[in-house]
Amino acid sequence: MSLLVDIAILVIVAIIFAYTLRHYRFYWDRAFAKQEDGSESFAGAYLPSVSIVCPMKNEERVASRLLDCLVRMDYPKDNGRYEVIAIDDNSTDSTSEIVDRYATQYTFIKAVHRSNSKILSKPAALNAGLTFAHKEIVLFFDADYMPPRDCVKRLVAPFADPLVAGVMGRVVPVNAPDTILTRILDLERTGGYQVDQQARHRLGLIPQFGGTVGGFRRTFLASQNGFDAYHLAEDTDMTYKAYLSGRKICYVNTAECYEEVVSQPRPRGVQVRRWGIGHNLCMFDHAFKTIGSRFLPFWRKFDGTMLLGVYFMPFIQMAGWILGIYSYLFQPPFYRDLLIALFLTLSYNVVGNLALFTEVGASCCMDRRNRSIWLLPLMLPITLYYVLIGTRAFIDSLILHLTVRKRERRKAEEAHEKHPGGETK
Amino acid sequence: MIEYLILLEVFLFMFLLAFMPGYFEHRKPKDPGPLHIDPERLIDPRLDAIRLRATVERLKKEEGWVPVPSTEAPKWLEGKTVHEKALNENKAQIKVFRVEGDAAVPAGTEIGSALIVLGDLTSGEECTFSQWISVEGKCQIGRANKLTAASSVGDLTIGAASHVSGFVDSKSNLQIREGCFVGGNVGSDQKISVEGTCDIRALSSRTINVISQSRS
Repeated sequence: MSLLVDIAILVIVAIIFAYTLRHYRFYWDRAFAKQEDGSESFAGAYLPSVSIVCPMKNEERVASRLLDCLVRMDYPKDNGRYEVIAIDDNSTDSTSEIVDRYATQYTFIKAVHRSNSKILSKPAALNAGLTFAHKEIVLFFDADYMPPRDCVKRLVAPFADPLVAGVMGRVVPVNAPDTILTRILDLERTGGYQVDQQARHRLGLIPQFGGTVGGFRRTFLASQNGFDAYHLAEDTDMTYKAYLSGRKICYVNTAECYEEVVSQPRPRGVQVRRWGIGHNLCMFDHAFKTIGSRFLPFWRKFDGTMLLGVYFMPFIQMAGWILGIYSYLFQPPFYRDLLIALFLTLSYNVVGNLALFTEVGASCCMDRRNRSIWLLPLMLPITLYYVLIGTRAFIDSLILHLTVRKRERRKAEEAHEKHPGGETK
Repeated sequence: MIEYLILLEVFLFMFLLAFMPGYFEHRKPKDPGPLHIDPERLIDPRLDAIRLRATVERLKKEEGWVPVPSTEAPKWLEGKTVHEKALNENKAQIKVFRVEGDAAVPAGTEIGSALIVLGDLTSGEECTFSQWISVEGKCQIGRANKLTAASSVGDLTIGAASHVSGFVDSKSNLQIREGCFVGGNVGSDQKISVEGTCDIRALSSRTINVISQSRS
């Protein structure tokens, strides 16, 4: 038992150390490497036809704001090169009327109404929109987003490279000053995009499509039969499908777009739990495929696997704490190991704990918002909150994977055996 | 026991101390956040040229220009009033020459400095400009020149078979002769004429005139 606990602790320390190094590598690249991006020079010069899909469910407060932004978008609207597909997704408020009003007023806006739908999910709404999207590139914007006029030109530029399947822009919380939580979420987003995504893009690793302010080549989406309507993290799922089919995703740091973030802890907890479950299901689906992929070079496999494990880490941390307490209370003290343990603990406190905060602090400096670094220590309670929620999300996703999904897979296999040529759902 | 309590209090004090800056920033925010995004922001294909002109205007107003003695000036600048200044660009320091009046660069000359010409500029064949050039008057680049980037207020002509790695921009008419390569955007406030077969990344002007047969 004692040996098992020791081994488990060592494995956990090794995993956490690997993530620490990863954060520092990203920070180092972003802070000191030359940030050249060939695709950005195509912005404004490469103008393929584009469909913009906007799912809206009870969004009467923000629907017209987004549609106004898309109407004013600086993109050639002649010859049907630009279209907006506004989806009223089973709304019970006046979203439906707003969408219809814009569709009547502007020829390039199409109104799609979903009502009494069997599957009430965002990916299902996106798939409904995709059936009406006929342009080369399909971009997605959520209703609470406010893209600036150059956003679409910047987002479509990387598609000049035929290997690019998808693109992702930078998200900035517009309501950052509202509450202490929104301010901390602003810091999270700043670090996540300005350093993390940008470094992953520049290092040729796996930048992630985040579900909005981004999009895909339509032919790629068609090849995947659209999004998985039942998936809670359809964006991550599609990112990995792109890489596993030999294509790539580009992150465009200059394609910035305002969004509204949740301002209260409880809805934030629900959001993180949902993302956690979805992301972990992606891990179960894609981890082994990523490791064994013939398209991905070693470092992309390595980073891809670590990215899949991001929502597994809270569980690992929690397990580490529990095993550490157990070890302290019930295991005999080994004084010969004390110095090593002390060295490791001090090293981790000085270097390891700071990895994430270094990343966020550096990104604040890059955005010339040095004062916001004062808020950094307040990220600690939020991080602890995420560890609790993330642990629960991992257990939920594991149960979901081993029960419901296993049953579904078995049914699908049986159906496939009965009708080998037919499609299974 | 009392030692442990003191230790605990010290620990709690140190722990809470870490949160104090955050508390003060939350109570009286000084961070201008969120990050400013101009909703009216547009992509201008001539942005590089606009930036260069802004840099040149700023440099012209700045102090610190040192007159170059005629003995130290390159031969082609003999008899001209020339000043020089160091400029930090892309984490490197480059030298900028400012020439009062017109300048003529003889064939085969290699110029390692950036150049601001306050009059007209003409260059002979096979000249190399390793840094950008900015001309207030007309700019006539000779045959088979190598340039980094060129901007002019007056008419600008790029000689045949020249190679420009960056942009070419003029506030007046702009002419690109046959067999040129331009790696950046070609922009003009008035008219762009392109002769024969050229390799150009992008053109940006109200009027673009492409002449398939070279007049020469």
